[in-house]
Amino acid sequence: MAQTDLGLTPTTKRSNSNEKEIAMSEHTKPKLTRRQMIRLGVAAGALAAASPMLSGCGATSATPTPSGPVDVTFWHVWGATRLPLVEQQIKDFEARTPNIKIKHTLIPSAGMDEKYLTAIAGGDPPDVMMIHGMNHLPTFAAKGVLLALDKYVDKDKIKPNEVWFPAEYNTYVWQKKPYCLPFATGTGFFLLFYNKGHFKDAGLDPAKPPRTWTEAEQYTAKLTVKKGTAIDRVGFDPAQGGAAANYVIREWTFLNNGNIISADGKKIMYNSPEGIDALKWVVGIYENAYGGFDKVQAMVSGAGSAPYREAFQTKKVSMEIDGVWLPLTIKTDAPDVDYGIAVLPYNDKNSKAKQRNIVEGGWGYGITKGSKRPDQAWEWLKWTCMDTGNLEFFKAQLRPSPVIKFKNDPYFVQNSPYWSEILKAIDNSEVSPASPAQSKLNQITKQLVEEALLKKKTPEEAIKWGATESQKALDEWWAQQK
Amino acid sequence: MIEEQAVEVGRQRGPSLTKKEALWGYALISPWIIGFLAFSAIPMLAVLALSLTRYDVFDPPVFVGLSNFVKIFTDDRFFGLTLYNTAYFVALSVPGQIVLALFFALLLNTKIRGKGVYRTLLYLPMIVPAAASSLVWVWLLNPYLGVVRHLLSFVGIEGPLWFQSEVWAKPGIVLLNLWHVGQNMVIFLAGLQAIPEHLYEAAEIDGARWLDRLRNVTLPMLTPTIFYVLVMGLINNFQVFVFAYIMTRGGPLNSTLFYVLRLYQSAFRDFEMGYACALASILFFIILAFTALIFRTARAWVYYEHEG
Repeated sequence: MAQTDLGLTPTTKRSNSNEKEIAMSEHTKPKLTRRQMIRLGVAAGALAAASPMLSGCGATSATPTPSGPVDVTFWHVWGATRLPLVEQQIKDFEARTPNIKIKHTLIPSAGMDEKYLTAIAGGDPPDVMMIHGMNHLPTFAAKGVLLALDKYVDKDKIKPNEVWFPAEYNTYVWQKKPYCLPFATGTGFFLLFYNKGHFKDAGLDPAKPPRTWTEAEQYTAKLTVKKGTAIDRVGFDPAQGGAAANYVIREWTFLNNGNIISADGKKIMYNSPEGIDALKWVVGIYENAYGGFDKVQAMVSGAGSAPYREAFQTKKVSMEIDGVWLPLTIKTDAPDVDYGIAVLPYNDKNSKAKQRNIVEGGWGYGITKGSKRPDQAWEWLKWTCMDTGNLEFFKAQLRPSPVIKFKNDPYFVQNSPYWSEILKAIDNSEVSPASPAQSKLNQITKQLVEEALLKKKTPEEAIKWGATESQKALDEWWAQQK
Repeated sequence: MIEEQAVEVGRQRGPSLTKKEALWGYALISPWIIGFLAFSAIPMLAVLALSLTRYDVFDPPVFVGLSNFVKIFTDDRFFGLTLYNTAYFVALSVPGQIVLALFFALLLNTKIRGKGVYRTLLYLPMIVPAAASSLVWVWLLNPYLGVVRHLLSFVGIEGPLWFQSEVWAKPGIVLLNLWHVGQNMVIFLAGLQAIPEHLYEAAEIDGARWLDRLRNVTLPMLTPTIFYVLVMGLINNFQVFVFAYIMTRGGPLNSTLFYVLRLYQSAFRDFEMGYACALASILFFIILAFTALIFRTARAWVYYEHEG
């Protein structure tokens, strides 16, 4: 009845309005329900769009109940020809330990640091990481990214110095605790590769590579071929085309009885007469044989990850510096190059200098601190770093293993004609202490060598500048650790 | 009467119609707002905040006040150099791109056969990812084995060392950037086609030749487009990174160490996130200042048709 309204509408229109009200409500009801449906749809859509963020935020993987096989995640940079070797390694491992499955991921070596950093920051790193002894180990160990392995080493009664070459194992020791097991040697990074065909052409004995700096200079003069005023063949490229100059220069200092950094990793030591003379000698090779680094720069630097290697493989360089990984790649990339391997020559003008190879870290495998499967990861470490897994991986590459007992495996001796040289390199190896802030130090060393090679600075100026800047960076890093 | 009753109906059944429509609006744009907040706004604020800290990712950030900024302005051997390298690149690249894009757009705006084919070919480099084109160009400009050197030798020119030379590396990257002219060209084409035909007719009647038409009709009418391309070009080219990262890694002798590349190295290679954020904040304000400057001067040279 019309009397029941709340008196909000004027009485004269009451009956009319009520009828109209009812009519209105019946008319508008369907609109509202359709609106409600659309509203629900929008809300559902927004929720669906937002839900990945909500679920991703607090993701913590619950520890799986170990009823089935356990997955161990493993990141590495063994690409191209080495990838099938990794897969074989995994296959062999899973065959003998069926309850552990290795899930490996190949990451590009160029973006390795960034990838690790983002994984660590995001709280989702792999169980096993491939760690570089110089570039990663000090920082990662100091910052608590890796698990200290001393408990595992003791539990399994491993005597490190009987298993691995001391230089290899000690690379991964930080503040007296091991943080990785050595997988790939740090030795054999700098070897002399020479083109035996060129030696014969120049009247040199291909079985007698240069052993001293004087011999290297003489050989370079004989091996270099000029076409008019241009250099057609580079006799010797001691700075790896300037590309990895920051690594090579440290080796040459070592071969001049110099040191790079103090044992506690706090003081730069290459601003010494030995360091300056080493750089002078390297620059001198380019000056004397070719008239300057810029004359051969186009040939030995350039595109690609290792242009100096490509120059050697295309027979434009007679003697280059490269590592133990080359025999495998050169087999597929440039099988027609008749090459020999020798340890690097030392400075015969310095009575205290001898053949002595710097070890600045190879590759080790470490377990991340937050790993939920450290025991299983440890099994993988043992297989790859101490056991047959290691031997097979390096046998296929004719590359030395850090494990002492594999040193004289007949396979190496039979198949690698230069095995004695490689063993010599290992025996003469010394660890150069690792330092944190290594990325900054590398950048500084690279710049100082580039500037010396391109004659922007004299070797003395370059070394002095580099040592000062490096010391500053080191001091800063240590100051921040307090 | 019906309207009054309709409003009364609404009033009795909850929020007003206008308010309901406002809520709808918010609901419909909420996905974009959430995305913007999560991926743009909050990260930007985070960068500004982190620039006041020392943060190496492994340990939580430590507040250090303005010391990052102090270090950048007083004790950073790369700050001046990276600004110079970036400014050099922008000074060559932005005008170069505008002129080249306009040139091709003018050509393509004529009645030629196969216009679509040329347009597609000129636009094609834009589809190639920057990383891929970088790798190709490293080989093209290889001073020993590269195609460009080979072609130059036919004309008897000894090509420079391009990315191995600290003098030629930056021009090499400018050249590579100019190759990506397609996008701006398409924008200019659109701008050209918006110019009313009657203006050209009037000019022709008055006896204007091709160059006069260009100077007095085309360019003034194109100023809004030029304005847009200029602002976007500045913002993008100040942040040049991919080419240097892939091809030269900042070398030789730091000649291609651009500001953003250096920032990246600071963050991901040296693990100095706070410092990198400070660098990023400074770049933000530099680009903002340039953009504001262009906007300010726009009134003098940008002509919009609908204004009197």
